[in-house]
Amino acid sequence: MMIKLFLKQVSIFLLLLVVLNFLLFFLIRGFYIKDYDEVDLGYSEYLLADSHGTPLGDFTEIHEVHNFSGQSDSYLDMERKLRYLIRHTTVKKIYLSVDDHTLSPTRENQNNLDRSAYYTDKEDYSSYKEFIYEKYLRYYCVFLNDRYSLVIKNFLQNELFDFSKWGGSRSKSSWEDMSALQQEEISTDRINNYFESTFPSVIMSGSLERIIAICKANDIELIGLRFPLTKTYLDILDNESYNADSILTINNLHIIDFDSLYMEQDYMFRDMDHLDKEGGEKFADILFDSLEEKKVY
Amino acid sequence: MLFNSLDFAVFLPIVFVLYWFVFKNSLRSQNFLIVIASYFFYGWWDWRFLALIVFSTLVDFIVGKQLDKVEDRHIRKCLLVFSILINIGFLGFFKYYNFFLDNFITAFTFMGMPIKANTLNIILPVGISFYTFQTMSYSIDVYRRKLVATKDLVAFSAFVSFFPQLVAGPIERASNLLPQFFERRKFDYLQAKDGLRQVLWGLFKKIVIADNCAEFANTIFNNSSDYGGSTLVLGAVFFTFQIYGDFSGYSDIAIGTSRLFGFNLMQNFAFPYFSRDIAEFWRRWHISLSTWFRDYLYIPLGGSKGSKGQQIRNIFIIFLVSGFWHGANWTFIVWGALNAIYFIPLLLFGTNRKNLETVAMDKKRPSLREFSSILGTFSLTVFAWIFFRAEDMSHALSYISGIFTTQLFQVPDFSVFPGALTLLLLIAGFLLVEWKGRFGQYAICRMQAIPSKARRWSIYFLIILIIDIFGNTSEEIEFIYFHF
Repeated sequence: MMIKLFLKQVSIFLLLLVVLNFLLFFLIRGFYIKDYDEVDLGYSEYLLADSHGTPLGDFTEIHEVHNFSGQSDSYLDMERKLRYLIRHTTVKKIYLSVDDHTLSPTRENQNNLDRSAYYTDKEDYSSYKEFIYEKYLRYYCVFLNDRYSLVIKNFLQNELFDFSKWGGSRSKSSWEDMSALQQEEISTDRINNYFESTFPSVIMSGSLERIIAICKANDIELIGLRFPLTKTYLDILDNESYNADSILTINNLHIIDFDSLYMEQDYMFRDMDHLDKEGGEKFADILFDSLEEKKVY
Repeated sequence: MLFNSLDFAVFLPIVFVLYWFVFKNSLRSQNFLIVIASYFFYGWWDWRFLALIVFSTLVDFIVGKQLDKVEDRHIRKCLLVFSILINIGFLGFFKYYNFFLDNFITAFTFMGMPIKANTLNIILPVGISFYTFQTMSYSIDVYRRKLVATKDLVAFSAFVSFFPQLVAGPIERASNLLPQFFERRKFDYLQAKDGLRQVLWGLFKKIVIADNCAEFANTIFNNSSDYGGSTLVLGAVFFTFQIYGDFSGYSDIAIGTSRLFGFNLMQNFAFPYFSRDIAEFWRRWHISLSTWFRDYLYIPLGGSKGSKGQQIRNIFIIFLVSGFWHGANWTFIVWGALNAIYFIPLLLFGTNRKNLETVAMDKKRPSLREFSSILGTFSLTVFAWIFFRAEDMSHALSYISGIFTTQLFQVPDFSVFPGALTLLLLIAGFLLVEWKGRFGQYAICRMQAIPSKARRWSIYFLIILIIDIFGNTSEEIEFIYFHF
C-alpha cells in the first residue's frame, strides 16, 4: 500500500534525522558542553561560581575543594548543581560566588539552564512533561535547543566567515597591555550590561534564598565569596551592586571579600573582572590558606 | 496554532493517521474529522471566535440552499445581499469599526462640529478576512448559477474551516475546493511526498528568511529617526523579504499540508519578485486575493472594457479595496493607491499584459533588459512596502524623507546589526534557488526529478540544518497575514 510506503520513507528519514542530531550533539559536546557535565563526587567541599570561579581550575583540589564553577552559571544553575551533589554525595561545605552582578537580571537571561539540565532530576520540575522536555529532549535534541543552534551559528559566523582569521595567528591582547582608555571603555560596557536595571532579578534572588535554605536543611556550611577585580573596574563600579552578599549576611553566613585583593596587579587578570590562569592559581592558594588560618571572615 | 510550532508538529501527524487509517472508509467521516480538527486548530487561539465561523458557515449554507431553490430574481438578490451583509458586517465590525469611528470624529472635529464617541476594545479574530471572502465567493457563485449549492453541511463546514488554509489562505473558490470534499480520496504517494517538500520549503521561507528579516526590519522601522538613508533602504528591503517569506511561506505550508490529505489548493505566489512590471507582479503576488477581486469586483465593474477613464477608475477601486482589505489604516489605502498609480501607465500604453510568460524562458540568466525591468519593479515594490509596514502616515512620510538624505549614498553601518551580512548572504542564496525553480509551483518542486535519492535527501537535510542553525527559532513569530 502506498501509505505504508510513505510512512516507511518518512520513518527512515526521521531515523536519519536522529542520527544527524546525534552527530551534531557530539560536535556540540566537543565545543560547547565540554566538561560541563563532569563532576568529581569524591569531595565534600565544592566551589560554585560563574566565570569568576573558572580560572581557579583544578588548583582548588590541593585544598580538598572541587571547583564546580561554570562559565555564565546563574544561581539557578548552581542550585541545580547543589541539589545534584546532595543527591549523590555527602556535602559539608559550599563556597558560593556572591559578587555584585550575580543577582543581575542580565544573568537571569545569560545562564546555563540548557546545560545544567544534565544535573536535574524529576523532583526539580513541576511536571513530568517539563522534566522530559528539559532534561532529555532539549538537552540531547539539537533541533530543539536554541542555544545549540546559536553556538553553531556563532561558530560559523565568527570563525569560518571571518576571513581575517584565516591563516593568521590569533593573538589575544591581555588586560595589562591595554591603554587606560580601553580598559575604562570595556569596564563601562560590562557594568552597563550587568547594571541596566535598578533592581535585582527576583528569580535570581529567589534561587539564592533557596540555596541558603537547602544548605541549612542539609547541614551544609555555606560561605560567600567575592572574587578579585581590577582597579579600573572597581573604580567605575563604585558602589553599584545587587548585594547578593547581604542576603547571606542577613542569614548569618560568612562572606570572604577579596574584590580589592589585586587592585594594582593587572597582570593577574585576563580582563576587567576575571583572573587569568596564573592569577587563578595564586588566588586559590590565598583563598584557602586564609580560610585555614581563619584570617578573613 | 502556528504552523511553526511544536503543537502543530504533534497535531498534524495525529490528524493524518486518524484521517488515513481510522476514517479512511467513509468520506463523510473524513470530512467530519476535518471539521473537528479545523475547529480545534482555530480554537487553539481563541475558542470564542469559533462561534463566528460556525455562524458564517450556517448563514451561507442556508442562503446557498435557498438560492438554489428560489427562482424569483428579486428574492435571490435579497438572499445574496443578506449573505454579503452578514459577512461584511462581521468584517466591518471586527476590523473597521474603530477606523471609521476615528475618522468620523476627526472629520467632524475638522468641520468645527466636535463629536464624542468611544472606540471599542475589539480583538480581531484571526483570519476573518480570509474565511469571510471564501464563504462569500460560494454565495456569489451559487447566485450566479456557476455552482450548485451543497446539501451536505459537514462538507460545507469542512470547506469553510479547512485548517491548512483557514487563517491566511489561499482564499479558495468554492468551485475549486468544495467539489474535492465530495470526491473519494485515495492516498497519493507522490502528492504526499510533494506536499512534505513544499511544507519544508515554506518553513525555510518563514523561519530563516522572514523571521530573521523581521528582526532587522522591526529595529529599523521602530527607530527610523536614528538611521541614515541607506540603512532605511536596507530596512525596507528586509521588510520586502520578510513579508514575502512570511506570507508565501505560509501558503507553501498550507498547500503542502493540504496535499497530505489529498487536496489541491491553488498556487498563491509565483515568484513575484522576478516580475518585469507591476502588472506581472500582481499576477504573481497573493494570486488568490487578486483573482478574487478580479472576478467579484473588477469584472462586475466593467473590467478592462469601457473608456480609458472607466478602466482607470476600476483599477483604482480594486487597488484601494485591496489595500483596505489588508487593514484599517490609511497606510494600507495609500499602499493600494500607489500600486494603482504604478499600474496606470501600463494600462494607458496597453502593456499590462505584455509579460505573461515566466521571465527568461529557456534561459539560465535574464537579459540585461529583463534584469533592469526586474530591478525597477522590485524598487517600486520596496517603496510601496514602506507604507504597508509603517505605523501610520506620518511614520511612513518621515521614513521616506529620512531615505532621501546624503546618507543614502553611504554604506550602512553593519556593525550595529550583527548577523545582517549573513542574512543578506542567505537571501542571495534563497533568491538563487527561487530563480532556478521559477518554472515550478514552488522553488524546490523540481527536486523530484533528481534521480539520486541520496542527493535529494542530502538537500532536505541541508535545508533542515539551515533552518535549525540560521532560523530565528528563539520565539514562535506569528505570520503577518494573521492580522488581516
